[in-house]
Amino acid sequence: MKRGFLLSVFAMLICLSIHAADGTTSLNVNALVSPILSVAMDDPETFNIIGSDRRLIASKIVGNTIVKSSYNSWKITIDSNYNSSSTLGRLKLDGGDTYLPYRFALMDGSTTVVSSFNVPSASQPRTSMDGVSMILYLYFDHSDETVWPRGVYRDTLLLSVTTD
Amino acid sequence: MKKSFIVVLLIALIGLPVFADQAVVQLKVSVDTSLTLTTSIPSIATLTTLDNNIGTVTLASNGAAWVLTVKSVNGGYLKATDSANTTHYPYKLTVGTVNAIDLSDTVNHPLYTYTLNGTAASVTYPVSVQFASTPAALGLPAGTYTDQLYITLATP
Repeated sequence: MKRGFLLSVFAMLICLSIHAADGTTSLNVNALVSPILSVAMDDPETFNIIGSDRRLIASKIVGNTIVKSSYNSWKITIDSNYNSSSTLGRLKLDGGDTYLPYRFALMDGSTTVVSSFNVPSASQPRTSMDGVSMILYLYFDHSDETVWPRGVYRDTLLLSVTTD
Repeated sequence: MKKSFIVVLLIALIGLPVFADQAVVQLKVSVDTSLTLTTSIPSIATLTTLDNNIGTVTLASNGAAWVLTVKSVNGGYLKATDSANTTHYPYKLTVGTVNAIDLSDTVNHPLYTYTLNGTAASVTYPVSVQFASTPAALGLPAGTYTDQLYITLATP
């Protein structure tokens, strides 16, 4: 009788262990990935905007704007200190009240990302770790016949990236 | 009441775009010194009278100081093209309002050069050539007498 009881207990333990082996255990793994959204651009070198024909040069590559984003959708906006309209920026002569107009375009390859001041671009996709590099062009009126006073002209651009 | 407030606040936060980053870029361009010199003086000006208006020179500067020079190749004289004829025909220049410029006077015009400094953004000077006497009055042999003038605009 005692032996039979022990056998029954043993059988029960086996069943329990088998039951335990068939059971499902859930494990929650939580990892925090910090979002990335950054914009960077080096200050361009000073360049002369009068060509050999004594007119304003037509265009100039100012530099590369690099945006890194882990967001699926982001936009870039460019604003200017002295712009006179949404498309016309101005460079101010140091020590004077002379303003030299220009237009701009931020290009991703052959695609214009933004070319108006203070108007957000269309939504852009997530970037690689290295980010997306866009070229900033300035455009001047080559047909302009103004004799621009010599000197240094400046403007300040504010580049902002936001998520939708 | 409190619960409702939290829900409303969350919706408000979700509705705002997430500001992420900004970069400030300084644009700095330069307009270099620009001087232009144009003239209506022909490459060969034939002088037929005692006072000959030969044309104008127009200078333009975008703010830089400038120096205009007029230099004679033949020492401030018209020389005979016939090498056997060593006589000279003296003349004087007028540039703008400056009269009687004698380029052969190396005391006032070293290297047979007249120099005019200025800062005007744009100015036009008439140029003329004057003779004190006719060739006949000076007893000059018949022939062609020439000089070459180099007119230059530069920064000082």
